[in-house]
Amino acid sequence: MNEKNENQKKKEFKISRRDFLKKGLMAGVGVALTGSGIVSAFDAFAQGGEKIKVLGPDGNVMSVDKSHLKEIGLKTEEEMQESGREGIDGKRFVMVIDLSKCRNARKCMSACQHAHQLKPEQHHINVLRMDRAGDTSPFFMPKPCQHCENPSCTKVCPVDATFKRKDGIVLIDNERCIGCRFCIAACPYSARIFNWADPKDKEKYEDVEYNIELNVPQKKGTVSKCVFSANRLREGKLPYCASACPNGVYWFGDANEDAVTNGTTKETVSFSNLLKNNAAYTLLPELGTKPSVYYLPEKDRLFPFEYKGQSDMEDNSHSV
Amino acid sequence: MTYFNKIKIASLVFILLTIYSANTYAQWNVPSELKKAPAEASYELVKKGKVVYKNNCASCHGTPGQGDNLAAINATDLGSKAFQKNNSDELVFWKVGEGNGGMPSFKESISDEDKWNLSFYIKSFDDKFIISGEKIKAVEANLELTIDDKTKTLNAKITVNEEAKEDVEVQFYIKRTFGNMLIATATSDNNGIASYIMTKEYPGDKEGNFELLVKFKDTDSFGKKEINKTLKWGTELQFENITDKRETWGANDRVPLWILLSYLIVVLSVWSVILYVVVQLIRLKNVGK
Amino acid sequence: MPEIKNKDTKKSLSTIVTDLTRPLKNHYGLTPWMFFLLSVMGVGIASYIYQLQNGLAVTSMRDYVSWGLYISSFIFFIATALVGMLISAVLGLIGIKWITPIARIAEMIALGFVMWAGLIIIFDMGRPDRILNIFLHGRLQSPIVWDLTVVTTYVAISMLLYLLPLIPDMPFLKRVMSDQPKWKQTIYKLLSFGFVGRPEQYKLIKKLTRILAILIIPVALAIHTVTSWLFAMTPRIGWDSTIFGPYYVTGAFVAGGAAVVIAMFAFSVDFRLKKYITEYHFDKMGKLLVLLMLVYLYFNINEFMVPGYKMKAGEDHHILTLFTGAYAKMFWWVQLGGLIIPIILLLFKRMRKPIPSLIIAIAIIIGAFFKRFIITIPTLMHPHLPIQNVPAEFHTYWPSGVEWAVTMMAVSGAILIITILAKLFPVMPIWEIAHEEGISNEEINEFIENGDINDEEKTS
Repeated sequence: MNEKNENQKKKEFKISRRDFLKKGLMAGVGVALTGSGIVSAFDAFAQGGEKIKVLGPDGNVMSVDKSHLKEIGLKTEEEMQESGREGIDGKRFVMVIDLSKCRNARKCMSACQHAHQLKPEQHHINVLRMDRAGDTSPFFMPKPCQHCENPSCTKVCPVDATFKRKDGIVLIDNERCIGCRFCIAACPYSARIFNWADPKDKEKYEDVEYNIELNVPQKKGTVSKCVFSANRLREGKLPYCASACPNGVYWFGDANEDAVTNGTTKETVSFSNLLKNNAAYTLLPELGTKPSVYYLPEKDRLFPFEYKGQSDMEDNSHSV
Repeated sequence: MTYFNKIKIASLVFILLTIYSANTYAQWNVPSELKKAPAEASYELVKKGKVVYKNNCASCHGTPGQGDNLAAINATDLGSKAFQKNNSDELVFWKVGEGNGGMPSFKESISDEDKWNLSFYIKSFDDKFIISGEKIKAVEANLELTIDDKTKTLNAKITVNEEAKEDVEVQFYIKRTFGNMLIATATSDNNGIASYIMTKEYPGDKEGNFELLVKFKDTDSFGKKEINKTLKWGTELQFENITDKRETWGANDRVPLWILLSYLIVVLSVWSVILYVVVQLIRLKNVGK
Repeated sequence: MPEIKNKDTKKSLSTIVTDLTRPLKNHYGLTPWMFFLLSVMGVGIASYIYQLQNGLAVTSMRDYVSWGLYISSFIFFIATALVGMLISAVLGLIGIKWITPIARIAEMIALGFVMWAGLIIIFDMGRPDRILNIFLHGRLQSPIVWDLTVVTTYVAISMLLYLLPLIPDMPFLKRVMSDQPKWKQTIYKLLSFGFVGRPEQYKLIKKLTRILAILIIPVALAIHTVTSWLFAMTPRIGWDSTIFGPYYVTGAFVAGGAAVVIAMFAFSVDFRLKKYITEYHFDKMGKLLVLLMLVYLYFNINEFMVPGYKMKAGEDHHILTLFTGAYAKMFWWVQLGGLIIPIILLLFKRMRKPIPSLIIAIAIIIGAFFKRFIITIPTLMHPHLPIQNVPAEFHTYWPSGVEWAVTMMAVSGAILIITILAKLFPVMPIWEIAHEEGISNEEINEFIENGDINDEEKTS
């Protein structure tokens, strides 16, 4: 009952704000300028009354008084857009994936899907079963977005909806995406997905302020992708996938600091030494995309490759 | 119920409890005769075993007795009563070497000596397990740091009750975004000084600063004293904002000039011809009048 | 067999005017035809509204095959539209005479298809409500922005290129259509731009047409080259090709040429214009098609022979899917039924007669459509990394009912534009045909002033 009332309030607020903006647009620039004045006056007047829905630090939807956002360290959608498009100064984020450790526990996939409001068939990170040649041993390969230095996807976007930030992360703004899916066609790593229908738990996330660094709420008709958990990096936390891994597969860090931290053991080592000492490589280097994700070869594995299929989504119709 | 049947049942329970797992959990086929430990368990060996545990086992099994083991992949809490009751140090030694289902075999990757130390450490959570020697008592050691910027030398002085302490290992870390990176370990001399000369260049921030962290390696014995210090010894970060460059992958206000110019020249020239035709067309009425 | 000749009988101006304006007045068969087109479009509109409500999930497209029938149709439409440039510009500029009666038909096809090509892109968008973002946040680095620019430009030039040669026909229409509803007469008056048959006016029209005919050549090459870049600018197996630009352009000529043959047949029969679109024209178009198809075949050999010989990793999968795999039937239809067999058949004079030409042209058009389909879909099915951990439907693609309905709406819409143009304006330039029959401008002006219109013909 209480919740219902609250919903009602939110809806009312939403309608008034939307209508206001619409009218402001229609009336032209002059009126819009006056309009923004009225909005702020309205803000001051309605202190304590205006509730907006935002994502809390733990990813839960919470209803917050707009005027109290600052106090609890949260940002408005506009502020999130601004800092989200800018990126974090001085950083160049990199990931190193140790294939010798991956045994298909899929904790990374489920943590990611949980954090980013994804359906079971939607993968920002996907653990693939790979085989280099017929007579070599197959292995598991987690594949997030490669956050390329020369990204094919952001090149072709017609509206700057997907873009590369100064810290190297490739983000997608699903408030701007027009859904042309050119970036999906351009990405050689198949790292992008599309919201063909309404996203998961649409009702729960209705009217929630959009967090571009988390890409939640997801929206119908827009592209979604791995964002290196940009929201967590701001707090100095490792990405969801890296933190969830039980097997020490993921190293994540800042190449400018020459340090990467293991998501499982929390051990921090030199990024350049890790690459040098382990014959690291990148995926499809011949395409010149220059990924920020590095792989360590699948040698010296402590376990056999075992795969028995894990859901009805499996089949083996196509493998490399 | 026999000893082995209990293990079988325990394994079965694990299978039933599993939500999903990459591997089916097989039961242990324990041989009738197990290897005996070459030496007696001592506190010194247990301490060594703890290091082996941290590096190889903790990621799945967590800290014994804390319940932070990963149940989803069937990793047992090794501090639990049930485990301790059913596993002798000989059996733990054998299991580590063998591996089972989700657990890899450490036969080659951990030496026998370390495997024994490891099993002593794991068994140290069993009250009934006998450990010889004296239990190492923790002392609150003091740590002081003197820095010589010229020679890039770090001198850590360790004292216990204002007396220099010899043979204490001190670790030097650089603080990084997601964790502390170990750069060196030094042992104190008879003056109680553990010194380290930084010969390698480490990246700092834009001013060349980085944050140093010094602490005891064996925090169990010497306490958790830490020293944080900002040093200007790093290489200055030359941060190049890649989004400032005009690139094909850049934002709309960073369009490469060759694209911008080609686009404008082509569009303007074509449309000016179209405009010319339209203007001429409007004037058609008066032509030849 | 005797040589097929262009002209056998000399036509009088009054006959020409009567023949060409007859369908504009007394063609009642057009009403059910337009009703049919509109009802197909109605189904398409309903399907599109359904798609808007439920998202692109109602199509068969999924994360891997994320472009499907819509984008294939888009390329097909752009391809078909390219023929306007070939016939009215290239052939016109090099002084080929036999195109006079079919140049306007080609231009109508170009207009109808290019306009709907632009709309198909919108049908394919996940968020058509945000279309203005292209103007607010447009990135000049994106081939989509280039494509939109060049499509708009091509529409503008095609419209002018259709309109300009129409202006000298307006005085005829004003005179002949005086018994028609007022709105039609207003259109004729407005579109005459004050043309009254002065020699200087004829001169200006010819000059402007010539300017546009030159201008449209690079623009038309650009429109299809840029469309090919939507694919070739990506590092994907099967698209990552340097010859995609010319490959698309030559393919477009084939598709457009076949469309013109079909339209020629339809108009010559249905509008009773066999005197104007004669066997001679079908013969010429047949020969032209052979030439175009040979060039296209050459590009096809290059595009498939080279990777097929090397069988590089990744490309081998793609090539085998086309040659022997899931898309083999379509692929060989395109190569054999849409290219090689038509080339061989059209080498025979007998096959270049109207009815055989029509059948061959239909086969070519179907091949052209399949070709666009197998350019788009198989590549998306063979990404560099394996497709795993997704439902079975993500691995395959066949268009859903909604996609077919929306695509058929676009086809009907394009044909509707052509039909409306054919109903409002003559499908051939009266004045140019009169000039070719040796009728002078003075005679034309005299006829418009007080010429006699054959009443018997008019009512038939």
